[in-house]
Amino acid sequence: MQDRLSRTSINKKQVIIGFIALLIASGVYLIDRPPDQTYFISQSPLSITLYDSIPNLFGTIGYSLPAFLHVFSFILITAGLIFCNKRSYLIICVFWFFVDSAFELGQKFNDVTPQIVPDWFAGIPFLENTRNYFLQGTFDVIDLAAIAFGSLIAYFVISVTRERSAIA
Amino acid sequence: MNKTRNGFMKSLRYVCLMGVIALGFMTIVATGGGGNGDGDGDGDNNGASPNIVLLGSLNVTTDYFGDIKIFGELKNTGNKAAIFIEIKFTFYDSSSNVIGTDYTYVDGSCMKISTINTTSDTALVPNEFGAFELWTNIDANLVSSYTYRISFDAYDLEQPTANLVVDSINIQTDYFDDLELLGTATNLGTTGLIFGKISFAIKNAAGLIIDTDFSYIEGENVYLKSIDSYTDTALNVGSTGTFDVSTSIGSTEYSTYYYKTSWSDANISNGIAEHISDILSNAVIERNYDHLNNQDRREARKERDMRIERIKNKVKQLMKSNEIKDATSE
Repeated sequence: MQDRLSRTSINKKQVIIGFIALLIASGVYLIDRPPDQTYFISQSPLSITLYDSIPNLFGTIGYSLPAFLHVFSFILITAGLIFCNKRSYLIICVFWFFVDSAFELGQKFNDVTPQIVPDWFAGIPFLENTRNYFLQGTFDVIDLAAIAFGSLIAYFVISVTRERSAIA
Repeated sequence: MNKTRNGFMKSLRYVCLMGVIALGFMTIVATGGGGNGDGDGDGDNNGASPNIVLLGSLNVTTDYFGDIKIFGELKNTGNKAAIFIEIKFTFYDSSSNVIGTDYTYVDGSCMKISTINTTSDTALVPNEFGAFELWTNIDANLVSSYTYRISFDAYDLEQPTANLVVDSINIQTDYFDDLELLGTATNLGTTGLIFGKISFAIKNAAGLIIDTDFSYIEGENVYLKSIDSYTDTALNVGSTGTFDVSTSIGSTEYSTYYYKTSWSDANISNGIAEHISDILSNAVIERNYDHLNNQDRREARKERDMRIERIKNKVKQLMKSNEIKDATSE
């Protein structure tokens, strides 16, 4: 009975940590990046940027922090939704590691990747920026390292928070 | 009961999981380069904004010097028109060192900036697309990769008072079996126009832009007071002119084409034209590049880009001084 309930409940702690990480990542874009360089800020109907209002907060770490936090937060959120064993957690970590790495590498091989993006993406919010993402973004090997590090830390965090939530 | 509840929760969780994966993908691309304007144009757009994206694939090729040359199309997927739409490329070598940058402006629609009465053919209204052709002096053999950035201004725009409309197009081949587009165009607007121009974008069967070419209208010869010179590119209200656009595209290479017209509004009377938008006086130099050979086309593109850059900066200054005046009067 205890096991069945655990399987159908959500690990709130993991989901909350994931969303907090996502908020911090958003802060990097809102505070440290010029608004015209980020799609979701430049497209917002409201002026949400704090670029000119608050001094640079994250410094040089802000360059790769979003790469770290993105993979970290989505591993936590996904794991929080699927309450499962350590092997499944590993699969989740590997999945998000490959997704984030693939997008980063797509910026390096940007003579090929934009051609894969379907034309019908144009005009669809968010998807319309996919081609711009590959061609305007700059590949950085430190971002790749940040993604790997984020995946490892996320695996550690979900392993630690797993037992506690099972008891709860 | 418990079984039903658990089944529902399981299904709900799968839906949530799919949503999280979709959100994950969207947050990746949403944090990428915005490809958007510099925001100088209008600080108060009431939620409406342009969004310029690359449409289809780039056609990366080389010119006769072996320098990299890029054709492409941009589309406005936003809900407001944009003007001075520029695409700037940065080129890298195999060690990821920057080896050069270059920019060009889109061949767009002719629109007027409402507050300062200035027209430019670098505008795209919502859902409109236009072509660009970038010539560089960067050796293609040295280029390993490139990135690009799109920028534009989002001033309030309106249709110019003149309106150059193409009546007919006749497709021929020249002596070299290259595509030649001839036809007539009429001014259906409410004022005269000068520097009437037609620009073609030509595509191959794969849908790639393979050439852009333009020609000025052979119209009425008028004296242009503001620069003390003559131009035969004028059309008064209701008048018709001709055009002849020569391309370097073989007649079997092309599949489709489209065109844009542009001009400067002018009052024409007794063979004398007065610019309605004085800021464009510089446009007269472009006339010298009509009927071009290949090398001149490269120069003409560069000249056009530099001319637009000057006008764009001048407009920016004017808008800024207007803002200061408004603030002072308040």
